[in-house]
Amino acid sequence: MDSPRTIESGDRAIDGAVFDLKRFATGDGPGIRTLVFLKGCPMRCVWCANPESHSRNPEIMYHKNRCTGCGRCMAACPAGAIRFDETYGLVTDSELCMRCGRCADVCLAEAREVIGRNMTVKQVLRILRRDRRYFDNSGGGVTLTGGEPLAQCSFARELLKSCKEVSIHTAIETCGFVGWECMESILPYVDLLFYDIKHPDSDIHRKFTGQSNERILENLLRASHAFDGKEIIVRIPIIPGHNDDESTISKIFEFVGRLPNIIRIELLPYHRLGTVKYAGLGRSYKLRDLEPLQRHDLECLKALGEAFPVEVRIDST
Amino acid sequence: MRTSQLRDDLLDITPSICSERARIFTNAMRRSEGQPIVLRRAKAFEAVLKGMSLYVREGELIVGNQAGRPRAAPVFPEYSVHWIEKEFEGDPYHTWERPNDVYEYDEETKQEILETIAYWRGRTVYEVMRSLIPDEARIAWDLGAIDDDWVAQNGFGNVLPNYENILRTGLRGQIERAQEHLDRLDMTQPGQVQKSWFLKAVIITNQAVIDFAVRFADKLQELGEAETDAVRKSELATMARTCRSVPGNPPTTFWEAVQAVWFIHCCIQIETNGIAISFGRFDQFLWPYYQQDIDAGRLTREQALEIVENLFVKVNEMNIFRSWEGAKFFPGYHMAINLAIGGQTRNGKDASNELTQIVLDATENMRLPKPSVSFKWFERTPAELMDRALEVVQTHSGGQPAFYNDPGVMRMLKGLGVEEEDRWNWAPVGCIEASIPGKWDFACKGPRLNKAKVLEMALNNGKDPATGITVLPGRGDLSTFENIQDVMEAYEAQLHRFMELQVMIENVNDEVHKQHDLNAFRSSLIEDCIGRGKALIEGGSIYSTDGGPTVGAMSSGDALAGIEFAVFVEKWITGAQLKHALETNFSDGTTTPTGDEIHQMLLNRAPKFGNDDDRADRWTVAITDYVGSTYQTEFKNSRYGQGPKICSYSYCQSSVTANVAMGKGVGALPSGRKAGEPLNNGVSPATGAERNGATATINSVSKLPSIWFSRGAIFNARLTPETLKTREGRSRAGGLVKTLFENNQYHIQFNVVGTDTLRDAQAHPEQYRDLMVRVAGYSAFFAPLNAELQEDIIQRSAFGQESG
Repeated sequence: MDSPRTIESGDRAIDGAVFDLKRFATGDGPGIRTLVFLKGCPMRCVWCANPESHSRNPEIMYHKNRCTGCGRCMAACPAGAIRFDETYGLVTDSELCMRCGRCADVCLAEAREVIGRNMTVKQVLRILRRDRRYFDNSGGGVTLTGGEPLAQCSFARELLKSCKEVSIHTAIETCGFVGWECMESILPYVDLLFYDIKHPDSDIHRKFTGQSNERILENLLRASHAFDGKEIIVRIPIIPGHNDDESTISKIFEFVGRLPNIIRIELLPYHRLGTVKYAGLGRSYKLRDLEPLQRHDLECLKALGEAFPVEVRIDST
Repeated sequence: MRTSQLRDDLLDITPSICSERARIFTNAMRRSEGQPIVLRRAKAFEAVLKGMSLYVREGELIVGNQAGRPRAAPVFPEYSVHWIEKEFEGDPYHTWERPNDVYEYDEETKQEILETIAYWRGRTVYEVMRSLIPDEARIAWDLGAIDDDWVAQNGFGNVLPNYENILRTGLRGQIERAQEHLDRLDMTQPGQVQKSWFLKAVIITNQAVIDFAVRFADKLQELGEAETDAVRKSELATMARTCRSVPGNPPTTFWEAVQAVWFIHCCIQIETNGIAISFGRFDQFLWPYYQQDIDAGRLTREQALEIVENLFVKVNEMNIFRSWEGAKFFPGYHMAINLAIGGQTRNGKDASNELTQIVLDATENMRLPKPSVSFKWFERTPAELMDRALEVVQTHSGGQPAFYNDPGVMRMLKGLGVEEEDRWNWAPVGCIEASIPGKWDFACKGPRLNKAKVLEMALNNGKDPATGITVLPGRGDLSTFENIQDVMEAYEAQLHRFMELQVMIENVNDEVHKQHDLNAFRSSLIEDCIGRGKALIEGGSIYSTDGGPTVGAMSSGDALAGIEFAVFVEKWITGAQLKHALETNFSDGTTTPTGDEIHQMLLNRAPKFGNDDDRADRWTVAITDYVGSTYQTEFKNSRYGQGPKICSYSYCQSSVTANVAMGKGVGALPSGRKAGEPLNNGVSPATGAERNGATATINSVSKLPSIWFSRGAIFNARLTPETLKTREGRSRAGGLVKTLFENNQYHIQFNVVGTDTLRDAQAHPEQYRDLMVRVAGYSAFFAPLNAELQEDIIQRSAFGQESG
């Protein structure tokens, strides 16, 4: 058993790579929430809408719509990594870039942003607690997302634990590609688990995400049994031509339908809002021309769920 | 449904100008020259109500019109005429050519109005008043630091009758009471003669309103006799009987009660053109009538809803003829007719009832700009009702209902000096100002104050950069201030002087109105004008305050934060460099850093109010605290010592669109706001300042010293339609409201982000940096998306689809 801790507990000095803190978030869990985005992800899903979350290290994001074209960033860059591109503006060559952030420092238009900074648990908590009364008045709380939050396991655990110590509702959004020891160690501090399932076939899964799915499915199985009295929401990103066929989705429903503590499945339709971020990071987006699904197709997939003992929703609303 | 038909037909009508009231009123005033003003105006009011034309629209259940046609605006040439003459000549526009708030009129109407103007020119309230104010105040007015056009060019408005009492006695009860007081006057005593004039005017005007209703009774009877449809025939017969009885006698049914309220409301708006005549706690004072009818089986809920909806349509038939300049401050034929629901009973219990729900249903079904429906929230407001109110915000899509903090306003009213027995029963009037039904004279009255304009002078040694005029010599300029405290002190000194000038102007205004504009009808509806034998402006009411809407606290706070940050803390630039950048509107490219670089620096890096950042918030807090406490503790209004309680000047932060109009006259500010751009609205952050979402914004607003916000503070928040479409989403919005109100703030209204907002965000991305859209479980900032994706989102929002 842990002994009682003081606020100045050493673990709260643990650093985590955080790339965003979004207050008044309304989509990932009940009530008014603050989302903590942790940087770094073991998977590389081809459809990913948050490319800035992939690497654990800081990156430079360029916002072309804010850029005034003054060129101060080019002058300030010690590596000569910034060049002018007709289409994309003042792009950074990620090979040459040293992530020193000088370009962002000199950019007065805020067209350059350093994505990712190290924060201690205490620093994050200080921001979370500013919205404490909104959490209480709306049944909300904190959601850890990413990236893959469990890729920074001890930071995530300390943060969740600190939230539970002051009775803040906690949720976590995970892809499940982590060691069971990590998952097991954070579950006591999580009220709601969002768990992504992308594909039931391991080879296809590897092809689209860079990793096989065995560990993911096994972790979900174990978590659902270990997680009595709490809630799990399984999320399936529906990607046209990748996993939107009926047999694939049915297989996932079947697997999930057998598990306890699953309160519902959410189908998250593919969208292209991340396109602009790829451009901002100087990367290309493989699926940029992929058309999102029609509402009708999603309804058909949702209807497949009627054969299984689990509620299926489109989107999180 | 007939009410939908009445609504749709009404919206097809182009607003116009009606000369009837101006003609009849002016002829009557010509005949009475030399008589006491209160009697002259009473008789002219009587003549108008006797002579104006009446209409009954197909299928309507409530009758009573303010002008000859629906959406026609009567003209009130006794207040101001100079702008009418100009606009008749097309300067700056013909009224039908204006960018907004157009009015049509025919040649005959124009000629009739010009004839009345020939009489009034040189003797209007506005001209007399302008000729009597001290030079210094006139200069401050002309350079736009203060502006009294909205009061001085019109009659006084912001009146809230006590309908509960008036319905109990009927207007005949008022007449009897006035007669009793008249009979008891001891005319050997000083001051009684004037009282007798007022009381006689009360009797004349109340009788005129009763007779006006009887004219409708005759007309309805005539129409009924000619009607072939049996159902309508019977309706018309009932309506004729109603109009023969109310508002003279106490109503006996819900329908009669609503009809009585409408006649009284309509006639107040015929008496003068002062806006913001409000209904008060509609679901409370009409509740006994509704309950009796339902219990007796004479009324169904559906019929009651139809009657309320019909009333809403009637409210929108009314109109006001504003100058083009005035329309910039109050666009959209805005009349600020407030109607309150919810709140608590005298014993602190939840006051909501079925009528509360009916008003929400009517708001949703009619989707009309008037009346302004206000929802009083307190900790015992049922969660179901709050959910329903938030649902209506989404379907109405025009910010209604707005939410008011019942305990927060009561706390403020206590601080102001309102008695405990009255506080629970407060209701908002006009835009937002809390009033006690039937006991307050004018819930809002006084010149506007442009706090950002005053700041400009403080930063320039007292000199207005636009005109070179100095009203009060300053304490230095940006190149000489040594620290931020000196800047704030210089600002406070300027603010103080302009507040003094505001009060001076209003004092002159009041005296001019006492000579030219005493109105007995509205006064008789407020306690204790009959008992004291005094009109409102003479001190007839129980409570009295003055205080005009002020603009720009947050823009000024951001400016101070910008100076502190750039000049004194980060020391990026010197005060002299900043001064030059402001003078050149950040356009001088020859300096180092360039004007544009200074602009970007201030805009993007200096802290701004609305982000839960004390480096910015503390300046706005300091400004609102200084202005609010100074008004309330240092200045008295003209009714002080004449009978009413309080009689202070007080702080109003309800700008409507004055923040845009007044922003045009303010040069570049150290917040990075360029010359001519809008100032912040109400107590909402400046455009584009919010970066951290709604909770951070509300945390900033929650720091404000609301105890001084006695005339209210408007807070606009933006929400996506998706947020309000689901119960879960509405509980989030409810969480925002509750947290804001736990922090004693006054008001919040939600603007649902629609196609218009998204289009504007496409055109002005810099002003919408925090605008978030939500697609498929994924939130994104709207501004950086490419045009194709933005278009996609706009299409979805236009069809009101669930995104996904």
